[in-house]
Amino acid sequence: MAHEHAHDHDHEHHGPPPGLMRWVKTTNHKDLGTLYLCFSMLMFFIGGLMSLVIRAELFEPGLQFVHPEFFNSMTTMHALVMIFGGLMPAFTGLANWMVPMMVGAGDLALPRVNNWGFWLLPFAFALLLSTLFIGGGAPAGGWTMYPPLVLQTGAAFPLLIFSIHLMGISSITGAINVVVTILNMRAPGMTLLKMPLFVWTWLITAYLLIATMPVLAGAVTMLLTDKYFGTTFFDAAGGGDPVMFQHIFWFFGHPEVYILILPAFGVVSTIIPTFARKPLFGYDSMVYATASIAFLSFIVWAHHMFTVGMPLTGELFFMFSTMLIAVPTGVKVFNWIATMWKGSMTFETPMLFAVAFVFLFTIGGFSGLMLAIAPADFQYHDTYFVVAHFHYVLVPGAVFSVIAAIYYWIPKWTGHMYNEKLGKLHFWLSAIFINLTFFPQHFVGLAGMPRRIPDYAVQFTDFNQISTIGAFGFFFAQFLFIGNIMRCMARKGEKAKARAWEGAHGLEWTVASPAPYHTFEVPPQIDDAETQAAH
Amino acid sequence: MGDKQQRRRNIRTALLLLGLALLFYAGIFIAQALRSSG
Repeated sequence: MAHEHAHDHDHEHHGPPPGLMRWVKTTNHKDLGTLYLCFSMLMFFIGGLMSLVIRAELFEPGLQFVHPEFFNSMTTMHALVMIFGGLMPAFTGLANWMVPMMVGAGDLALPRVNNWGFWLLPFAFALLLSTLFIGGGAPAGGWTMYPPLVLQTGAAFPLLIFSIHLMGISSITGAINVVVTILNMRAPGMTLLKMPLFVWTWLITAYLLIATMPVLAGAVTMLLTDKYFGTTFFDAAGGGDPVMFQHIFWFFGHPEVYILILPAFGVVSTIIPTFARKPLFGYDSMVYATASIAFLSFIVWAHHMFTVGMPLTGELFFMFSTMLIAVPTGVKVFNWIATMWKGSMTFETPMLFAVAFVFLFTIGGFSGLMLAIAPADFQYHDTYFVVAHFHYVLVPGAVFSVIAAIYYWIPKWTGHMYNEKLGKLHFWLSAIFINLTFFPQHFVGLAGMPRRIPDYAVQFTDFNQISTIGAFGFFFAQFLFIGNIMRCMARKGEKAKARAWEGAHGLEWTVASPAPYHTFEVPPQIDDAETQAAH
Repeated sequence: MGDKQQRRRNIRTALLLLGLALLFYAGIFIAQALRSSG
């Protein structure tokens, strides 16, 4: 017993080993969280540069800067980099940092697997990005990789498929780690319905990942064998069916949308109660709504492909099942509003981003409902209206939640507060420029401007120019964010208290800021008042 | 719960989830095979 105590005592005091190898060999969830977040920032930057190439080309009709094939590569690579390299690792980074601390665990359940899962990513993206420099160019058939078009990809094809396999393995290992940690390693007394909502949303997201990433892996393996080993899974000439690929892809692809947004819901459900100084309204209903969204996400996939042709009953089924998702999503939006209702609200930067999320994500949700209407979708399909829709969900939706989460938790990570003035300036510039970028795309889309085309009819010029100005403004505004993060990392700025925010509750705020290298090696006592308030 | 027991339990749960993932992967191929034979 005495020996055990001495052992714990030693652990509490030993910090990270010095040098670069710390980051290569680390199995610490906080180190790996930081690595995931830094990696995702780099990918956001690269993906952002690609979007600037797209927007620069679309500033005027006609061809200005790039060859049409390269433009197609940019749209394809921008999506792959942002989804698999930017958003997913960002949320995995947040889960790495926060899930063990929120449930009172010492680390994630499988620390070495955690290390492996992270270090697969740089290799996956080195492979993917290397295709920009090889003969035949990078993949240009769209991130959806529909055959037969994608089979025309040159030498980049096997690199694309292998990199997707690596990303998939990384995601699955991360998801398994999160599930095992949450199911097996919660502190005694931390029952499932006492967990913070961020943990709940991540648990459900992890199940979605385990169920859908293998489906994507299966689909791309079949593409690989179709191209190189003579199979005809998706080749009509050999008895296969190219439409089957679309069904399989979107069986992965639609839950993927919720993989990107459910953790964002968790972040917003954490931040709003803190700055409204009220417990989250309807905690149980939030959990059930998250689970309902996850279930429904598996039975709506064909709304992405109404125009491919399917029986009327199929169109009706997928139309109505898609509309059903508005019910649990509405529950969430109303709960966030009810949480703010009569709260003692203050608007620090994380809260500004969270409130903007509620407004702007809802715009993306509503345009999603419009797209769900099968007959109307025949007009909207493959237009800029779709681009506007999913960017509202993913940028002022998911990306804003990542930004909000970083502002919210960075005092816990670095022990220093960010600069509030700079944070607010960053928020307002981001909010204005992002709406300038994507709102006009609704109009050009409804008027018939197709997506993934480097040229367009002259009547779309004005709205496209506004969009391009917005995109450049949003990109450069993010340097304020990077500067603010660097400031905290350089230990400048006011020192953060253990409970950095007056209204914050939960286990993560009971440890010092910055959080010690090892936390909760001995499971904490769960204070019911604290966990209830954290809801 | 002892450290070793906890680790074993974690590995068991992880393998179960990995099995589930592999089942989904294999399921796509099985479904395709059934489709082409039927």
